[in-house]
Amino acid sequence: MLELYQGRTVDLVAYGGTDSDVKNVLLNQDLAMPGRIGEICTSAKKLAQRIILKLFTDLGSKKYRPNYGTRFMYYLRTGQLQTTQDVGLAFTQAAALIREQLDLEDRTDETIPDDERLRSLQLLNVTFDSDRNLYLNVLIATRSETQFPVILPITASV
Amino acid sequence: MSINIVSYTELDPSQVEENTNLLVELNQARNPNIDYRNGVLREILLDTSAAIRTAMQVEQTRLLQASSIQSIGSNPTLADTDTVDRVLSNYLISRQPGSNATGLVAVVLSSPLEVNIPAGFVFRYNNLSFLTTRATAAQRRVENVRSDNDSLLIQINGGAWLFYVPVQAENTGAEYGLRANVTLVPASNITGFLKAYAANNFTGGVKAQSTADLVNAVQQQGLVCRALSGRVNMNAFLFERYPRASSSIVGYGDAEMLRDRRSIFPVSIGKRIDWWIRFNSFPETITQVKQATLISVTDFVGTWQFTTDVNDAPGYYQIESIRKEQEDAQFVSFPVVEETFNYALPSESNEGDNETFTYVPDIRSAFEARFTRYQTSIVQFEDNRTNHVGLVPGATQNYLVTYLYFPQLASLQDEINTGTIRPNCDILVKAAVPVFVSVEVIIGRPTPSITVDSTAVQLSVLQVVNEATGIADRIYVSSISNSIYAVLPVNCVVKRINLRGEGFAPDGTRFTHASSECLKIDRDAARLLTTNTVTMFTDMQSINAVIESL
Repeated sequence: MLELYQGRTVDLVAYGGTDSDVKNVLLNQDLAMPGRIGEICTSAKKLAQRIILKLFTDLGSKKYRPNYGTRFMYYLRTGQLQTTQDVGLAFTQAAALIREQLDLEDRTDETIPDDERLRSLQLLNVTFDSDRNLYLNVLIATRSETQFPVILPITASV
Repeated sequence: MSINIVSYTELDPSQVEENTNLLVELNQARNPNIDYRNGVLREILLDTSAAIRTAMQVEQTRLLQASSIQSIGSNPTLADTDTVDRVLSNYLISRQPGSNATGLVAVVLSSPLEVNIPAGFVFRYNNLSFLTTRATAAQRRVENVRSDNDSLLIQINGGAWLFYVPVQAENTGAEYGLRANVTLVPASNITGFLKAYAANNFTGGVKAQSTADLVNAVQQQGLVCRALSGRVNMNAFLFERYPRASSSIVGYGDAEMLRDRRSIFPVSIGKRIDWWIRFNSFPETITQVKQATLISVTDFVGTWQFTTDVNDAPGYYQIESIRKEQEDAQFVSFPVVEETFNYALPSESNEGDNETFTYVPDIRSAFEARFTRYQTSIVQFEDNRTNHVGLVPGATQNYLVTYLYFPQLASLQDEINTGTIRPNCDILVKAAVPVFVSVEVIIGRPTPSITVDSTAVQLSVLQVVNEATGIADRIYVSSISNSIYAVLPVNCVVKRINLRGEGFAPDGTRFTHASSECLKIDRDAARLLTTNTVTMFTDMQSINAVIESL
């Protein structure tokens, strides 16, 4: 495990619960969570954190960065996502924005390793549990051909 | 501190980005193993820090912008107003707040209905709104008029009934200064309503002083002693009391100074000052009850005469209307057939201490006294609506006479005359010679779908004529045109501006001039018509904006 971090820069984990083997753990902001403070990440997981941050930030809500984020949570919050098709459509739209933003951020920095650069972001499936919680099964593929499946459980009344 | 960023939307994203990059570099250098370039740390921590840092930088910049006269003057719109006020208070200058125009609305009913008008009831003139300042109940019987909330119904000629309602403009600004008799429209139904109109000139409407105006005041006043001891000092003295005034000081050696050339040698001896002042953007009206005496009756038309005392409307420009209380003020004013000006001086008192000393300026003719607080007049007018049967010359009757004047004129003259202030010379305060300007603006637009805001056009003209011109005997169409273009939609043009001015000279004569390039008065120092004595007025009702196709 340790060799994974050798010679690399690390970032903090903002959202725990993104591991592929965890299905029923809700996403939490670890920076503010007792017990899991200071968890670090690198490679594809680091990329996943960036993607989640953008996915969960309302476009325009960062007033001084008006082009940061997506409309996904807005659609969800305002009840516009009623079916898996709705969710799929909204995610596709959000994924395009995330890709655009990541490309813009990474464009000038050649030191970013390929396993932290996005190649594709794919929504594998969408499920609702009995409480109408939403689970997004997302596959993040990096340019180093690594793949990082993520399940994003979102508590929302849909 | 009043300077603060109330919203992060005000921040320049590129400035935030710049600060984020700076923080990234600083932290990256300190912790090379942690990735600050992108990701959680950057987007949650450093981005937020950068936003706060940027906000502080903006606040500091604004503070600097507002903390020196030079910075404020170079760009008044950027400086924070509260900080500017604090800085300028060091120069004994304070910002004049805006105020809403007030006036009386005459409501005419078809029958003597005791209607109630609630407080906040709206009357409109175009898109300007005026709200009643208190609830008013129209009362038919005089004994029922018990408080300010009651207004007596007065039967006017023609059988209609009239009562008055006090109103205040919805917002501050000179555009709400309606002239008397302008028709108003109630926003809601009034039982038995026939019409409503401004019963007097609506006055007192001014915008709060802008920072640019304040900077201008500093340049004129600064730390100058407010004393009657020189032109700069006198202006400072004036602006301290009447911040919106414009003035021209005529003294020794000036062509318009006639009062110091009375010796047998036609040379100036000095010691005399004529202080021509425009106190506000527009003069006010006052209505006095005057007892008139019948002079003669010819063909059922009576010629009546009354006198205007020095305190009725000191230094008045003109009589706006003469009517009987029972007359509908909107359309009826008995015509003045003769107006003879004179003057009356109080006796000079030099007894007692300084507080009781009263000086009297040297005035020796009605010409010299015109537009001063010592002006009097004898007015003859024709009344063609009174039944003169049985009336013989010498009969008396009361009339309502409305004068146009600056009420500040008498106050200033009286203050100067007191022993505590009076300088070692003779200062005579005069209302600047008035020229009332009517403006026709023809605007061309490429398609009818483009909306031209006529009120904004009128307001821009009003601003140039009433506020930017000051004391001057000419006004250029180009300056009006420039102001209009600031409010015109793109592709619209000012095709033509026609100016027409009518003025009253101190010698009692009237003059008119018209131009589409520059409205200017024929200068004649002997008649006190020069760029040092004349000022120009207009009002919203005298500005006509015509929209045409290009």
